[in-house]
Amino acid sequence: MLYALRAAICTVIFFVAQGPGTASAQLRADSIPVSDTLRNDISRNLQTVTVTGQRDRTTASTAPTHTLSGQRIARFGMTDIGKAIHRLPGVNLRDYGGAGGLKTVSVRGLGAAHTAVVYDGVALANSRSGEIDLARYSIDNLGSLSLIMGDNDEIFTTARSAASAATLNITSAPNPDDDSIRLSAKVSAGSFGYVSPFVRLTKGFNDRWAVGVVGSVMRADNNYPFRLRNGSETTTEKRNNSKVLTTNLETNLTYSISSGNTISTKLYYYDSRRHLPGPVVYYNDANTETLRERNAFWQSTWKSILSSKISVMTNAKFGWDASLYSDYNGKYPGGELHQNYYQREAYISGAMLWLPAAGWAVDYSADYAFNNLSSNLVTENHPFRHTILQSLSARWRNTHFTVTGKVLGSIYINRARTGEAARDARRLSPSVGISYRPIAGRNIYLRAGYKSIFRVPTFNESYFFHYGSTTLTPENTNQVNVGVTWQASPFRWLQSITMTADTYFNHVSDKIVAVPYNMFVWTVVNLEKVRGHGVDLTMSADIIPARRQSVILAANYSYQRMEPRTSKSDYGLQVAYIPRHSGGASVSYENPWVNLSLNLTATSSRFSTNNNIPGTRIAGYADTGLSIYRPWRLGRCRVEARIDALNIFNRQYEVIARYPMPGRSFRAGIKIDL
Amino acid sequence: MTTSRLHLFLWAALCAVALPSCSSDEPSTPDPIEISNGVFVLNQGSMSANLPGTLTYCDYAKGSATQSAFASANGGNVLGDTPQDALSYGTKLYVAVYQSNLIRVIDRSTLKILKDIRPTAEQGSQPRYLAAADGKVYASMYDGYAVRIDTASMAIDASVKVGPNPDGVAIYNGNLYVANSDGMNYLEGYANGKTLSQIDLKSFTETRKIEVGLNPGAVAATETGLCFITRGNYSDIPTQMKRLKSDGTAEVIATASLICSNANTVYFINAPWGGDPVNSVGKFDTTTGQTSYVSIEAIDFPAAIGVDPITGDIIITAYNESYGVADYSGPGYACRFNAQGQKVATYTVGVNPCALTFNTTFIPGSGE
Repeated sequence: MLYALRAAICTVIFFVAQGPGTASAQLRADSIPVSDTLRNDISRNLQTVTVTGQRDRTTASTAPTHTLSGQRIARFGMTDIGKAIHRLPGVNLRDYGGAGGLKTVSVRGLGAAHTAVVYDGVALANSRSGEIDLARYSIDNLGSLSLIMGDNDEIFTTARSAASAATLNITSAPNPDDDSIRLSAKVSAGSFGYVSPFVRLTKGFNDRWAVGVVGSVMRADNNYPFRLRNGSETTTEKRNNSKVLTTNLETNLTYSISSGNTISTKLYYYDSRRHLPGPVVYYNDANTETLRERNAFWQSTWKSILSSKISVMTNAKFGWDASLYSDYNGKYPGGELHQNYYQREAYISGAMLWLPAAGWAVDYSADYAFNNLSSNLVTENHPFRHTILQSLSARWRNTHFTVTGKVLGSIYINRARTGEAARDARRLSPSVGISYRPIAGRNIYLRAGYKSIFRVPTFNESYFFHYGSTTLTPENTNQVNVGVTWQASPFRWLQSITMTADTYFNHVSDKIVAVPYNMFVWTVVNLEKVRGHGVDLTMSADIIPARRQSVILAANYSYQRMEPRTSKSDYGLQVAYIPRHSGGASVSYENPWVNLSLNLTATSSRFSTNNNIPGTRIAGYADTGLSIYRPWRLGRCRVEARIDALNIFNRQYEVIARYPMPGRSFRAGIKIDL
Repeated sequence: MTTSRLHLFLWAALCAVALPSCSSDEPSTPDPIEISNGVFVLNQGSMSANLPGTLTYCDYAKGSATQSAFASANGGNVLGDTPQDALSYGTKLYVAVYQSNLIRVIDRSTLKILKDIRPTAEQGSQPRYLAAADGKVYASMYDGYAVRIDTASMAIDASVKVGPNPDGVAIYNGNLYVANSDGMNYLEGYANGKTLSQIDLKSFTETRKIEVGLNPGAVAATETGLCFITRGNYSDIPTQMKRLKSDGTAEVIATASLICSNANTVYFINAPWGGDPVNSVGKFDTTTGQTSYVSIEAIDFPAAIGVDPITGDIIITAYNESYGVADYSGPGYACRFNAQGQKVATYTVGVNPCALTFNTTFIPGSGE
């Protein structure tokens, strides 16, 4: 049935793209050189094809592209974005424990500053620290999560999307296409004072406009108990000074000017107030640090299909970010320390996709971004940066091959209002990829790709007092990936199974690291070299064991070997916080009585330093979560009640040294959809 | 002077003193003599590397060092996070643990913990450096206080407010001198870190603040003089060793970054980052005011210096090297030089060996 539907849709797509009169009976959606914008438009209107289309992207793309849809995330009962990210292979999530705590992601051991995080098509920026806090993005409003390692064959993108070694794409739940008014409200409450209400209201008008408003609040005490081992004694302590209150507000407006011509606008506001517990200190649990963060931005995207051969896209963004850190301790002058940082960003991007001939696509994209930083520190030099990125990509496709090539030209101009500015950078960064399908009609693909890219030093690394250095040069990465993917729908009960296996080699040079000047003063230098290799395996399956029952399964495993190679004495060591083995699985079982889902994440031991000395080893762990939920229909309403049990085996573990994670805890929630 | 020669000398001296009494009818009990067995090296560890502080004991007779000596004696319990200073006094070892906010009182022979002194918020917090005299141990508290600990009750019995971010301490001429570094005011260039607080020991009140120079750190005293280091601002104002003159002003003696004292001499070495390795130890005689130098085998990244009160050996702890700079997350080492500067031994120690104190014990004297 699905095959027939797919064939029908493909014919429609082909007609629209090429014009009537050139039909061919044997075309498949994944072999037609359709403009990427068009495929997105059509696929949004045909929900069933979306799922298939995404699966095809996972197997067919030239660089590893792993996706988790919002529906799957909800079915797997993932309570926060970190749990969803654990289902993507090759990622290292830094988690400091507790609801709302800082979470940053690094892909294939390269570091968080090498991973771009893109929210609805526009990259999130943090020029100060270079890392994006993923805890800011609510899982309740998630449309999909996808990870691209390198550059894939989706060439109609911003130039910025090529400027990082890996990209994590977060899309929010889309606005509806019809004129109905939809309301979704959810309240969850749980252990350690966790309460989180969420509301989403969407309405369409005239089949052209749609507005969506989303709001959520989360508060938690996070004063969870943990076991502290001190020699032969183990005591039970409590995390202290960990209260969190966060607010998320978002408005999304979409307007369809005509078919294939859409504009969407987003207004986003985030506000969090946190008490920071700090690392666990032996014999002392007093901590007085607080952090208030606020982020507001406006972004707009306009996509238009100008003709059967040309599509254009423009993105623009204005953002403001405040990070207000305070510590109350008698050792500071005046007994208090206040470090308030403000960042501003202005961004504009244009991309043009040209389809010159059958099988060919060429894209030219240009981005300009302005970023600045100011603070209340006496030593502030008010740095700012102009970033000009241009990318030229080409793609050729036929029934068996997809070949892409891209060159990114980057210009970074660094200036500062006072004092010395960091160095400018001008580079050309290439990438190539190939995907080969040996047997037409069968979804088995072989892929290989190479990408060379760098990251410029962050403002902290360039300017922070008694730490930064303006003479730093960018950190370079080179990555090679080779893989094989397979997707099939072999049996009636095994609706779909997808497996991917990738092996990669990467190399980082001029890695920026802090070295001591003396106990009080540190400096950063381009010092280290790292060589890495690894394997990423994923599997996902949709099983129908019986009528009205469905099981979905996702599993991933990664082997990561990242070896410092700065001097001969480093060989054989493993870079800090990279586990050799990591992985997990999620299972969801839906049936007419009660739905269950299980999530498991496990990693092997890691070291907190690059020198791997015995005292710095952090034990491996396995964290298992269980969810039970049941939906009911009450008239037009759908009501769902759920209970989540996190870390059901009460394992005491830490991701980052001295930051224990919570043991067993519970959450319960009710969700209403009108 | 080696230990055995010293023993011989002491025996001879004892006999010389005891001999006249030998001829009398009454038997006499000779005074016990103090010998030096080894040195405790306090390792600060590294919070970011998940390494708490440890204690290493370097045994002279064995010629080797025992790592994590405190943990071994206390069922594996860690010493604490970021210990700053250790002091041997009487039969006890006192350790100021900065981040754990404790002063730990340890039995020096068994290394078992005797008592943990937790200061109250009014007394001060975050202990830094220790000094002792007349049955009292004094500590500087980084949030702006100096406390006095009674060694019999092992509790804080007095606290006095001093200047911003007190650091090094030393006792001289009936007063406790505390260096007010203003070390947390780095954004303003340590603007309020220019003084030593002079605290009268009898009343334990601050009698005056003495202007000495920028960012004072370590303080060392002998019977006849007081010296201290002013660290400057780590860029154009260099680190210097100065002495306190009788008129209450400071006089520059030499460029130096680490000091310690023994008998009438203040020993100093100069090791700022990026400078040359240290290949001599300066000796400033506080009685005569003369400076002399002892050549030693070069040390690249010294961390602390101490002089054995019995043998006169100079112990310098140091960082190992990592990518051309000091390794703050790996184990260091300690070099023991005799008073003439010849290297006698090298010991492996822990991570960030920031302080050292000697393990002297009394052995019974023997007469006829």
